[in-house]
Amino acid sequence: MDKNRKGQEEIVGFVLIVVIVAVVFLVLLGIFIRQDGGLETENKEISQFLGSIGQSTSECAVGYEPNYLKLGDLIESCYSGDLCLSGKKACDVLETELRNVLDASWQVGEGPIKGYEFNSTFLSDTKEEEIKSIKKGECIGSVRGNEESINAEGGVIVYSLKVCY
Amino acid sequence: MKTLIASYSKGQIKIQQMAFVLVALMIFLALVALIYISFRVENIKGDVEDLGDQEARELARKLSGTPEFAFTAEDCSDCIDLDKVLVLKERKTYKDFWNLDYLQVERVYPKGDGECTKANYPNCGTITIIDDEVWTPAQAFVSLCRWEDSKGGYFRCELGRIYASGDLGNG
Repeated sequence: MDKNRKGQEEIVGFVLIVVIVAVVFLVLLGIFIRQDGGLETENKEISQFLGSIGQSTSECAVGYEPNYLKLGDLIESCYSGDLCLSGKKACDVLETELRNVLDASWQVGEGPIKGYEFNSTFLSDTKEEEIKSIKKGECIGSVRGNEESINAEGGVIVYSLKVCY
Repeated sequence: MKTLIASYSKGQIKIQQMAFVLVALMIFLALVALIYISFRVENIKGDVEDLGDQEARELARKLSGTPEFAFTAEDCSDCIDLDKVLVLKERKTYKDFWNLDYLQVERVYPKGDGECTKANYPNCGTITIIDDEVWTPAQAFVSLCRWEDSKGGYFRCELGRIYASGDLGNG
């Protein structure tokens, strides 16, 4: 009987130690996971990238040639459903140009970049409408991003980029 | 008497057991603390590198705002005048103007090939103004603007990068 009790005490002690070790391990694991999946929303490089592409001249001219729209203005034209002088839809030209410029700048799969997500949205007091969204690769792990906004009729257009490492 | 000695020994063993467990726990916690501290230190090092990188980018970007680079035909803080940059490349007196070891402008999209000269401009990839010594240059995205002669003439801007290394702060 006495031997049984001693055995029980040993088991309880052992279980207690295992529980303490497991708790410490879980706390550490939590800290590691939280830090790996870090989100940086005000990355300078991406801010510079978004500012620069907003100023880039697109292949979409409206009204007359050579009145080529800047990419930032092309997002607004896409939202308005405009057509370019070439007959193409502003949204189609926007998609092609954005994909080309994103692929040239952020090579997914080469080096540390695992993916990217570009989003443009029209925001006003009454509505929120997605204009164009482009994704490539997988966005897991560490994320760096930023956003820019341009004034549009009746609201504001916000375009953002998240690059995943 | 025999019984007394025996129970005393058992007590000692129990205390010893407890001591071993405590020592093992302390060692385990110390190891955990060491791993955590080394991880934090690595993170702080990474943050310091990131800050340095951001600062370098900012300085490279600041350089693009100087009158020698700035595109002034339109109100655009993200733009540099590619026509001016090509002229700067030809002027060797500007080599020591910024106190830099390396200064290059690259066309990112549309992608161009080779170094720009008057003969192949603007269908080229890079304009290297200073090329003394390459450390790891700071880089920043910029919009490269130039006068395009076709269709009656207009200003055309394309995505590019500016690379710079050296003592940019005093530049």
